[in-house]
Amino acid sequence: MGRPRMTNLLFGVAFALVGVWVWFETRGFPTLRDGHPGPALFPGLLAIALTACGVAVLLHGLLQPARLAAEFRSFSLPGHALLRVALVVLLGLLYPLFHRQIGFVPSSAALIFGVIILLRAKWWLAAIVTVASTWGIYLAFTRLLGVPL
Amino acid sequence: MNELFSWQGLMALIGGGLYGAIFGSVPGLTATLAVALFIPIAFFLDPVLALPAIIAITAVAIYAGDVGSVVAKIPGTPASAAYVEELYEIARRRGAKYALGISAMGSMVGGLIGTVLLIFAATTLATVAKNFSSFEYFWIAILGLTAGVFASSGSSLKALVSLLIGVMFSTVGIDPTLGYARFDFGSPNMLGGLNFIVAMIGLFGFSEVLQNVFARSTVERRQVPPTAGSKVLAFFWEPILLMLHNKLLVLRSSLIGTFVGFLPGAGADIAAWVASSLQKLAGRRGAQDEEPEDRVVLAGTSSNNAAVASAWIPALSLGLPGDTTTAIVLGVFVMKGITPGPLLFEQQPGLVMALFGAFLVANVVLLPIFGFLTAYIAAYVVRIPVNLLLGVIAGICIVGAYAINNNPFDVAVMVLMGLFAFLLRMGDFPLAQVVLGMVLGPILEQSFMVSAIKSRWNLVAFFDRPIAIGLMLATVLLVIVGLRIKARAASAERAARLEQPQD
Repeated sequence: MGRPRMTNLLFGVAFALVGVWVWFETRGFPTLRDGHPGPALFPGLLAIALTACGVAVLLHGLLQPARLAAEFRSFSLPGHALLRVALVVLLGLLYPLFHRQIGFVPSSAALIFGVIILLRAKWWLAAIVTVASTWGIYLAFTRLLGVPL
Repeated sequence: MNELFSWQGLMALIGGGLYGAIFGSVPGLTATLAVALFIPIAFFLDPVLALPAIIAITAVAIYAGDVGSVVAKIPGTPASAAYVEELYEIARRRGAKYALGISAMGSMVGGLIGTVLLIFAATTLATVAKNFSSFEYFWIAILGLTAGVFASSGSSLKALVSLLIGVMFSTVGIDPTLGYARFDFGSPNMLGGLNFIVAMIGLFGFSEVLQNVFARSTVERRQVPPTAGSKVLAFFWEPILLMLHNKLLVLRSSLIGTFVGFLPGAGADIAAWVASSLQKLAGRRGAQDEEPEDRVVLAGTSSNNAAVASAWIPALSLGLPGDTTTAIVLGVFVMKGITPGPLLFEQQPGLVMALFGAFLVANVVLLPIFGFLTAYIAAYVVRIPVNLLLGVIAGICIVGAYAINNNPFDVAVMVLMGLFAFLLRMGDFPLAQVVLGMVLGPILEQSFMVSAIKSRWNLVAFFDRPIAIGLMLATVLLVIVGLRIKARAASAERAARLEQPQD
């Protein structure tokens, strides 16, 4: 991303918050019969460690505040790139639904075609690769390896 | 032994090797899944044919796990995840044949050393393994995690964060002490925890697709280095020369693999992590190291195949599984009415000899042959334009994640893991440590809780036993050496930065 201080700051905050959330979640876990910590102990310790590490990463980001401010000033959100990523993630998350409704071949073909098109391939090339690879994967898994799809 | 070298025996070995090569190459299809799917066939086969076929499947599948790393930076098996970055880098620098040649030749020698120890020291080593209690397993997990932090080429703090996240992922699902469901969000799919194979496909495979979709810099073909000399030289001779120059490294890694492999429950994955992490640390100490990636791969690949053989030591000698594959093998023993244990060597000498013979054939004959074949195919696959290849990889990631349990939920987990890894990459957080955390997390928690409850929460017990103390001291030593190496690397970097404006 080329903005190390800014990313450190953002990731530091995110990990510290996740650590705090996990720690609060573990408060509701039961203890052992003799009062010793049970299911909460391990994730609780991890949460404390993650929060501490998150704060350390955040502090790394805050070092040299002038550079941090410059990174923020020069930053512009790569909207189109993020939209493309969101589309691929959406295709992946919708796959289980389509798989259940229309089966393996059309749902996989849609996903593969979508990804190739988003990677700027010519549509006819994308179509050829999609058909060949979908059938290739299908035959390899079901016929050759005996894995049901 | 005669049955092994009959035409049926050779067909079982060759068929098993081919089947293992295909399974290992496809992300999501592991050696364990290959063996599990082979069980219905094994049921109808004579044990002298079924067990050697299983040996051929695992030996070749563990090697073939590296094919995905070379083609698309997606490790086919968890054991390959330990050195995926290095293997991919070698393939970019010297070509797929050389990269897979190192992997195959390292696997061959590691497998051979593991087999020799299996043949000559099975009962002795099994007795050592019997002395390992939950205290020792706890320290082994700590040692592995510590090695993982310092093995990262970037910031140790970020490696630690990745590791903590991986261990945290491993706490999802039923806890080992009370059976309490943690972080399940009310979904029955989460009760079994996050499958680390599914996570690995997302972390390495799907995130690669997202990264390229984000950058959209993939229209051109990947730069494939020109093959200097013949393919046979690149695959066989150059890696053999590399091994000859690094004899001690191969021996050390194979012995690490054998040691980790014969501990019940450890196996090839952890062996590869320990050996390659140690080599990454050692490589950073030597300033003159010209081919650090080659040596890391050599270390990882020789240790994981050594572990494949040594995992059979407790299985044959004590009837305890060394890893998930040998757990399935013990099921085959029971299915065939064979009782594993010390008496097996006296009561079934023919079967034991056939197993030893199968290990030798699988490592000396099948690995090089199938290794060359897969490297030959991989060398063509890497020439496909990356935007087309990534579409196919996205499809394989989805199908690979689904095929593990035939559960659409796994596909969603894989996609979200891919998105998470995409974000981690933006922040320069290493991904391999997340997988290491997921592999070692359950061992760490279970061994800690069992030890604590066993000792009535007297934590001094963790420092009471000689082997545990040895492992703890090794961890402390690793931390000291790791910190010194990191400090030296940081000061060298600072000095280089200060010198730059003067040039």
